[in-house]
Amino acid sequence: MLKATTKSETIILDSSGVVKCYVHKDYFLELDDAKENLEVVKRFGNGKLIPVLVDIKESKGGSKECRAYFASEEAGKIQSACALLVSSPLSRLIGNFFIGLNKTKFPTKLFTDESEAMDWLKNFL
Amino acid sequence: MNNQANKDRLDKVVEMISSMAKLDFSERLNTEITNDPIDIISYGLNMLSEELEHNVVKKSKLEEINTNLEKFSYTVAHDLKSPLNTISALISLIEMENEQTPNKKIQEYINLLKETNDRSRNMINGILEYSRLNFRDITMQQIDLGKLCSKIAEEYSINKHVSISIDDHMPVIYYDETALTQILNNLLSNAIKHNDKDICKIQVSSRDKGKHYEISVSDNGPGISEAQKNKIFNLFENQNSSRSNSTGIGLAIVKRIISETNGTIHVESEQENGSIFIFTVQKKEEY
Repeated sequence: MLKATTKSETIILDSSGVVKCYVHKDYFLELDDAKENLEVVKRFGNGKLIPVLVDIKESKGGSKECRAYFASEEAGKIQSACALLVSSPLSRLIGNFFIGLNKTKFPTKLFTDESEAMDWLKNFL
Repeated sequence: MNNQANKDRLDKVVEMISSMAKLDFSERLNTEITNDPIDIISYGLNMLSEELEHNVVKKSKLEEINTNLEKFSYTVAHDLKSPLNTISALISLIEMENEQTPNKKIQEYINLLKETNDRSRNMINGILEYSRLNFRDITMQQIDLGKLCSKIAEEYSINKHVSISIDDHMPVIYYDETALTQILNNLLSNAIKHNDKDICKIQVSSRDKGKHYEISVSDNGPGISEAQKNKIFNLFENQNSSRSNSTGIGLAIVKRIISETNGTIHVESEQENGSIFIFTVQKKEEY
């Protein structure tokens, strides 16, 4: 298992082959955070596109630049798919802004259940 | 939080929505990011405004770049026109000189030069025509599409190898008559120019699609390959067509006019089975 902790997230790659990112409680993601986190995912992917689960249940969202980076070509070179884990109306709203307005180059979907998200992500291994 | 405080916050939300309705996306609500419903709405509005403001700025920058590019291409084309005309005059002089003591090889070179120069002049004229399209002067009015099509088709009826049919129930549409005439003329003349049959058969039809009409011009010509379909609406894409004396700007102009009036155009075609050009016309005054 690989594990890293950045300023904004705890990032884990276990035997499932899916990278799981847990945004720290009440954290508001900026562009630098997005870059730092994707760099770790890239390292974990070891040159291959990798499916990613991002748990934003406790997050306070992200800046416009961060949202744009999430949908950037750069991100498309790292992730094969991305599931955003939400729970409250606030996290659902944040999730929709991440995947709605900026069209990503890879499949994205909102989930409220982590195991359902993992089942979906395994299609992109 | 007491009722008055909530009312004040909601008033701010309404104010913000009013600004957005006036396409002013610069406002932001002072809000905490919590699960409180008013906070969620405020935060959502802030994000939405932020994205829309960014897109409005991006769009206006793109429009500015586009305008500058058009001005630039017009200036370049205009400045190139004069030396090309001079070259044309010089070629004529050389040709006249060659007529005194004819030299077959030199005449061959002169013909090649003339051809190349004419092609360049056609391109320059094409760029000028394309850049001169002025949509500020467009006058939208009610047009009986059936009548207009018949009038245009009549001009082509002199050619015995052309047969144009127009559907009986063509609608009355709202469009600029000059622009619509230009679109139909371009589509009809293209169908005739590229046709490879003894009789060029063209059918003009319309379909009511709810909010808009679909106008189609179909022919029995050679069809268009899959690779060409995506390119034919680009400027000069068809210039070197072996079948015709095409300038390669007609469909680019057609597409530009249609896009400027909130319409779309596409072609459906299979090689050897003819083509159907389909464009849309808004029903209401939505231009």
